[in-house]
Amino acid sequence: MSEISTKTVAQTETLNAFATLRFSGDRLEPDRVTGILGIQPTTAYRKGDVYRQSRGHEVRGRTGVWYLSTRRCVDSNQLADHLRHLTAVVSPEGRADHILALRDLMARDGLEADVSCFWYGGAGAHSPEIPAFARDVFARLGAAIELDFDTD
Amino acid sequence: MDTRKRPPRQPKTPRIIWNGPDNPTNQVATTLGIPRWRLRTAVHEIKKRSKLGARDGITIYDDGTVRDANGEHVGDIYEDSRAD
Repeated sequence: MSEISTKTVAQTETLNAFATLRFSGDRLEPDRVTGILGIQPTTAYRKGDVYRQSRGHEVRGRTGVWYLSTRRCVDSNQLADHLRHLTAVVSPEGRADHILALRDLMARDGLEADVSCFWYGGAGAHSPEIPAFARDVFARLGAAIELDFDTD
Repeated sequence: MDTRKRPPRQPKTPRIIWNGPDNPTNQVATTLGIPRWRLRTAVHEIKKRSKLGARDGITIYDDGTVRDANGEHVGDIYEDSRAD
């Protein structure tokens, strides 16, 4: 294979992909979401909490957020692998589904749920499809899916 | 020996290199010295974590600081673009 064609293949690769699951609302109590899902979030805070120190600045929550990102816990550039991880958190295979409990909590505390899919590819790369299993699980949860796809 | 007193060094004021709701350009990544995919990764994480929407505007400074439309500090590109 020539040097030129090798570079062409490399440029069409996925450079990064991950997904996030987020619950938010002014009355959100992070421990309630953690208690249902049995997994620690990447970041969680109540409305008004200082949740991060950055360059000497305090970052304060404008609303409550429970946020799980697969970026550092799923070692894959395939978006489907990241979505499979999130669906397994919400609806674990062979165990009780958390969706009903989450929907009850969302209704009681006025929370919203959403899922974001981040994908970045080299020039000419084709963006991925959202697998049906993910669309199904997140629809049952009542979580909107947001796509953030981009290329060089 | 030069005995002239030097003026006190002024801290550099960060310069705005991006402002708006759209995705930051390659020029912003070049100014920060990181690949654009790392810049986009960091912006996505900062927005999601801060309960900002995809179309919410942000301001990026040349020291990596990110502020929302209200001028509130919401993150740092260098912290959030570190290797996975």
